[in-house]
Amino acid sequence: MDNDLTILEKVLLMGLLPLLGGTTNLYQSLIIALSAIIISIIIKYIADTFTFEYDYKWYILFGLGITLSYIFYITIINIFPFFEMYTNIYLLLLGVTPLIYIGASSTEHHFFDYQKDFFILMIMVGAFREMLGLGTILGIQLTKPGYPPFGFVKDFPGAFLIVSVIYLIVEVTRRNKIKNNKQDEGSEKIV
Amino acid sequence: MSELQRLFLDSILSKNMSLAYFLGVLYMMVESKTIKETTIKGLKFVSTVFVINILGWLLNSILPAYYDPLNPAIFFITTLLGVIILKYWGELDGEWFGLPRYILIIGPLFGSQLLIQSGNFTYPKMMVVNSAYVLGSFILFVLIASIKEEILVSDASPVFKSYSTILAAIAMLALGIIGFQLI
Repeated sequence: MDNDLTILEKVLLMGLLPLLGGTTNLYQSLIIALSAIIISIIIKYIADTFTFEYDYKWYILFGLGITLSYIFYITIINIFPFFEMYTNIYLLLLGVTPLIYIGASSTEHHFFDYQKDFFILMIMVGAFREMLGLGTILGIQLTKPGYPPFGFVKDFPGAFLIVSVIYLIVEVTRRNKIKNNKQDEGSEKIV
Repeated sequence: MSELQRLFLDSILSKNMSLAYFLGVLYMMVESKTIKETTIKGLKFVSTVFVINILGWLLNSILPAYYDPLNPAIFFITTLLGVIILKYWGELDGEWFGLPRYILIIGPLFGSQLLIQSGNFTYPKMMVVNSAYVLGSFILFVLIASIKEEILVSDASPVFKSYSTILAAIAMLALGIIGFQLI
């Protein structure tokens, strides 16, 4: 299970914190996902300029990550007061999320694939949690107010379940695609 | 049910925010081939987190309120202390997908202190929440190791032998705990 993890699995493990905590609704997911991606890009390009000792590099990057997440948190709630209701401590904690440091890794070379998978996952989890847990989407009421289809989804256990189901769907699709490709290659060889 | 008992049940799983760190990253560091090894490693990690959380809370409480903006710096120092302890135990050697392991542990150590501080708890409440956090995480380490072992030897389709099954199992467990809270 742990060998040869896919990018999606690594995103899931390294970014589980914002995936569970920052996806109560779609607005919140968008704000946290975009903030995480921007911080990741800044860290990646700053890490690329480093030429000194290995250990110091990581300590500086970690300090930078924490500082950037604080700056994002303060900026968002000051410049866009409307968004304050959509931010929470998880925006502040982006600085300690390992996924934002992936660009500085010496062995992981698909930086933008990580960001793409993370963004898609955040949006999907946020959208599903809002629709099922609150009965709304982007604040627009879809069901009778006060009667969401699956109220428990807005809480922590629901977040686990939604992440698990989305991951399962993506994984089934990916495996089917690989299987179909192999079958196509096989039929071409026979022809 | 008393306020502290409810807080304990809340914090052990269904509102265990530090668990998100543990599950994502720390579990990968703690998890070993056998349940016994996972248990020993898990004990080392959760006991460090427990002590560091108390230390961070104490330092935060001793300092006057106008020093609150310095909290991240205080938590960073206590986090480094935790890293030193775990390094001494030999638990932070090597890398994980190109990231050094000591960088990965900084997240759980720093984040759980920040989470406890954000709750503005009194000492008894902090101890209850802290104990529930580490107990919930430790139980899950062992449970996940067992579930994982079962999944790998089961006849299930390969697609179910993945993290999605583990996450679904945790969700069910959390729902069970919520059931207790409703009593």
